[in-house]
Amino acid sequence: MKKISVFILLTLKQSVRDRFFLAVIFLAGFYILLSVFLALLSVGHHAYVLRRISLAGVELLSLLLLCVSITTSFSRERDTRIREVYLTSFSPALYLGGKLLGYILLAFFFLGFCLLACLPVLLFNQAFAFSFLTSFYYLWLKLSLVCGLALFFSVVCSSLFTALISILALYLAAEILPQALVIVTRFGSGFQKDLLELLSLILPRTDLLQSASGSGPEQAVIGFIYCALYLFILWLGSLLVIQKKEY
Amino acid sequence: MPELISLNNLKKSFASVPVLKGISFSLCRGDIFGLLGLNGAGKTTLIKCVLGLLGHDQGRIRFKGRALQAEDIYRQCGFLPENFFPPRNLKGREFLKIMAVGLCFSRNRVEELLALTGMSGAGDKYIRNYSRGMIQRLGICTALLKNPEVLILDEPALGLDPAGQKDIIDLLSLLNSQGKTVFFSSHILSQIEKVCSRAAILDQGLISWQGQIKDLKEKHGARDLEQAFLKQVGQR
Repeated sequence: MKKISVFILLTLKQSVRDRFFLAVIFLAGFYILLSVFLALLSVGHHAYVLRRISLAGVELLSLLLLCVSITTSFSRERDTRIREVYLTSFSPALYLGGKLLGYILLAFFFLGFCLLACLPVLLFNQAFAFSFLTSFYYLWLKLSLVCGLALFFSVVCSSLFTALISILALYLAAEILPQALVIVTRFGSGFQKDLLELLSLILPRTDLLQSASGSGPEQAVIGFIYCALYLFILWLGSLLVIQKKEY
Repeated sequence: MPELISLNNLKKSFASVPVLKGISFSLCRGDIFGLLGLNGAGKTTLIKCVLGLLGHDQGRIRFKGRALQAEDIYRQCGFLPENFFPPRNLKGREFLKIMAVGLCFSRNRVEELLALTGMSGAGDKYIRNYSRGMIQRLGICTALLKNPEVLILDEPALGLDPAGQKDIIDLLSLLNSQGKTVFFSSHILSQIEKVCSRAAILDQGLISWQGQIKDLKEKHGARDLEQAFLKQVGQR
């Protein structure tokens, strides 16, 4: 536990003090205030739109924060050769595991900040609903998967840009897959259906990580277990790649 | 002196281009061993192979007479790479304390090492504000944290001014006198001549000479190591 805490602490401290993190925090605060004005434009659905717009903005900013932070961190560690120092003192499993947990905690803190910033805005505008809190929980699970994907692609790809594009492409594919599957099941050919079903086995199931109306705590537990298993597979994949790769 | 690390016919290629073509030498306990070579001779590759950061295609690396294990590297080898730069948003002391926790050493060890390297006063500065010399000293502190038996350094004085180079060389000498075995690569031949008990020349993937520096100078009738080195690698 002590050994893994090295990478959790290094990751958290390095990320939180980064100018990019501070810029995203500022942007998030600004966006949440702006969302009040955007919601005013939707007459009759003010509360619902305010919640949805806030959540969408937070998701987008978190995604940006995590993808950029993780890929640049791996790229910087490779260029400054600090990774070689780490890997001559700790095993690759600890290094990758610690960094992954560090970024999952970073996502947690960032969402915590956003939630604290959103709550007074929602309460003041009488738009608060309990589902808003559960949405943050599912968003955290989804962002944890993004951390896992970012870890994997940062290890696999030598170029920062390729890693970034790969993560975003996979995230988008995972987001639209459930709807695409519904459409193809009804109107598509057998081959298209098989292909999408195969993809649904590989890509993260974001439909399991969404708060549906009426879903209880069992949905939250299933989401957590699914997320933990998927992260374990991504960590294992990254470990295999880092052990094969030569630095 | 007993052998600490020995290499036997080590070979390594990158995409079928051979870089190390059968390296054999041994590092003895208490040595301060310099590895010399022109750019692209394979010095960094050799160091990375010894540390397990690169796999080798053929040959054996032994530590205290048995096959080198990852655990030996984690516990007994301190490493400072070339152009090393630690996380820039941390303070020097903070970085070392976090590393010390993971390596199961007390925080007092951090203070000892900062004092040893003359970094006590700069420990609370952010690493991004450090000079190249301070970064190298911090790197040596990091390498020494686990109290390793052997210290492996890749170009430790690269990019330093003459005063900085002297400080690093004096520090390596001091560590060696305290019982650490030191193995380092360098382009700065005057450094190697000054401190090394033994040295080896890596030339086009092969060890073209190894032994005591005075023997190399005698062999080529050279007045200093630089002249002897250039004659050995066929540049003069």
